[in-house]
Amino acid sequence: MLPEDSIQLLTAYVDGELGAKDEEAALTLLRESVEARNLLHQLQQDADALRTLSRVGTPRDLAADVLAKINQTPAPSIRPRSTAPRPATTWPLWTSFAAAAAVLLVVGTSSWLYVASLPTNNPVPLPVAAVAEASLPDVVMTPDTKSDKGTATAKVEERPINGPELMPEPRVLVKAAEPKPAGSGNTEVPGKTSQDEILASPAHNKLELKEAKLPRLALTLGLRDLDQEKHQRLRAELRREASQRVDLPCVDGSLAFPRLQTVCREQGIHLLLDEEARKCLAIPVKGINYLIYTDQVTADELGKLLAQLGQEDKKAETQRRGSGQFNNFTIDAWKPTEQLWLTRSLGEDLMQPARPQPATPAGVDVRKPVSAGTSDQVAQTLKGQGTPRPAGDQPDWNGKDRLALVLVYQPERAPRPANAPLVRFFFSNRKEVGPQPVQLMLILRNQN
Amino acid sequence: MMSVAADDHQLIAACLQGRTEAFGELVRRYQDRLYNTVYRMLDNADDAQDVVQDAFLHAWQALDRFQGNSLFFTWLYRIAMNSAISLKRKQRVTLRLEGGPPDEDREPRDPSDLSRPDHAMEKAEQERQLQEALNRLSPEHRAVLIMKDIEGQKYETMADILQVPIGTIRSRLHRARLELRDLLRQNDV
Repeated sequence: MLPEDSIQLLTAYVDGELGAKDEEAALTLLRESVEARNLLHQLQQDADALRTLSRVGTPRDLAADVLAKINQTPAPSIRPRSTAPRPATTWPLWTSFAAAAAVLLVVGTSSWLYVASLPTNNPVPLPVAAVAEASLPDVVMTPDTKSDKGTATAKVEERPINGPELMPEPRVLVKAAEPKPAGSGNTEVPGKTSQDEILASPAHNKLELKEAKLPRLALTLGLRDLDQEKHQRLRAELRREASQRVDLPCVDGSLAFPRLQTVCREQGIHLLLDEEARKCLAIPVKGINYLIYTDQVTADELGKLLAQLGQEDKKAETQRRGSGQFNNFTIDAWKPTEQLWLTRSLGEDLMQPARPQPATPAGVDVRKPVSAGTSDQVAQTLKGQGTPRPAGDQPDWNGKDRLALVLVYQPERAPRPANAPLVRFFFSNRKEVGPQPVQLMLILRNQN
Repeated sequence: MMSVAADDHQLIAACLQGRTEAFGELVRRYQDRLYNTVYRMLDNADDAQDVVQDAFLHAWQALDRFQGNSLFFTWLYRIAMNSAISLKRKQRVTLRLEGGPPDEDREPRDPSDLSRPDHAMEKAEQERQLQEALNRLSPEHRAVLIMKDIEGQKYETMADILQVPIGTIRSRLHRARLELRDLLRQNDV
């Protein structure tokens, strides 16, 4: 059973208002405790459910009723200040200063006497955050630059608490759990604690996480208030993993999508609409969610895109109240069910060759995110199969922009295979991507 | 947001000069957002309308006392939330067998097979369960969850609205989250 202060830390974590120190303490707790992770998952689920509750508007315009009533009452006006002369003060001004100084002197002296009288083995109780900090190893998670895998491994080192110090930039992600090959020795498997291992080691305060196997923690930020600090957090988050899931709730997808499309275009990304998505947007059909997939964007570009989208949304809201479409968004790992849905929508037949072909690259494992190299293999495999669409079939594509696929996203029903020529077109026209490319699944989700 | 706030102050100044149509603009501007919150507090459309309307009337009466050191909406929100909490305290909490927001204020969905009725029903059912769980929380706990998760407000604003210390907000949110978690998972046992 988790102690109360740990549970408080977790609920505050869900609130999203922890300071850097408390956030670090929360991450340490989550790293060490399966129970904490399970609790956090439940709390975040509930918070997400609340956030995505349908918005309810007034059944009728109240303005007329309110105006009718207030027209019966006099308008409020600025009440004139009383012109009666204030009674003259009987005390000269210097006495006020003297009184204040005397109070300060008394308070200061009392405090000094109190602190001086405290026995040394009876420390003053610390607030919760400091208790959490004192009881857990003071840890700093630093990226291990020696890793050649392109993803950060967490190395935890002990730091003495030496009074005020600059807090490192808060980090909220740990590496996603990856199954290790058989026979690779003890690893931390989700659901099993390595606490015994940790406690048994001679210097158990020094935790060496070679490859963290902990589930990734979602990061939720306000799209419209991505200030410099939050933007840095966002960028750090996006750089950690090669695959990113962005959950982007919106008020009305039929209005939000064009805004997103415009921003993508400005960032050099062309959205290829599947036929179903095209129809829904043309009508437009309300309440439809869209999934946007691309592997042709870098972590930094994605961060820029989200920041720009936030700016555009904020501008729209400022110009006309209620025009804003977005609020918070969440970055997370791909969910296995969504990954499966996507691979089936893109067409498993397209992802794996129908017949074994000599001297062709191996088929793609649809259970794994497609790496850049594998995508090239897919494109290579697909060449010569069927009739590739010429670029002319995408008249609004300039031939230079990178591509992203847009599908209608309805996970509650079996996925319909996306337009096969469109998918082939997507994979056949991949462009060069800068450093730290990510495989992006962005879900534009209606709140109504 | 600054220009919206500045715009609000201009409308308020116009109201204080006797131009009631300026207040009508303020009502139209904020009625939906206020109604959504109050509805989630009370789970009753009629009560929510009454509370929202009363909040605007109260704001009108007290407009000369609005000092402008917070956003107009925050001030209005405070009036409405306090009314809603008071009303909820007076009412007996009952479990509702039917719930969910009224459908007449939503646009009709497209009848294509892409808006399947069963999907909408499933979503409505989930929302009903969530609203029922919210209804079983105390008014204070319900208020902080709505303000935090639905309105996306910060501790400081919530403390300002409810006129309690930030520590109280944190503590209420803590208990509210745990209580909600237990309520939502009662049926899973």
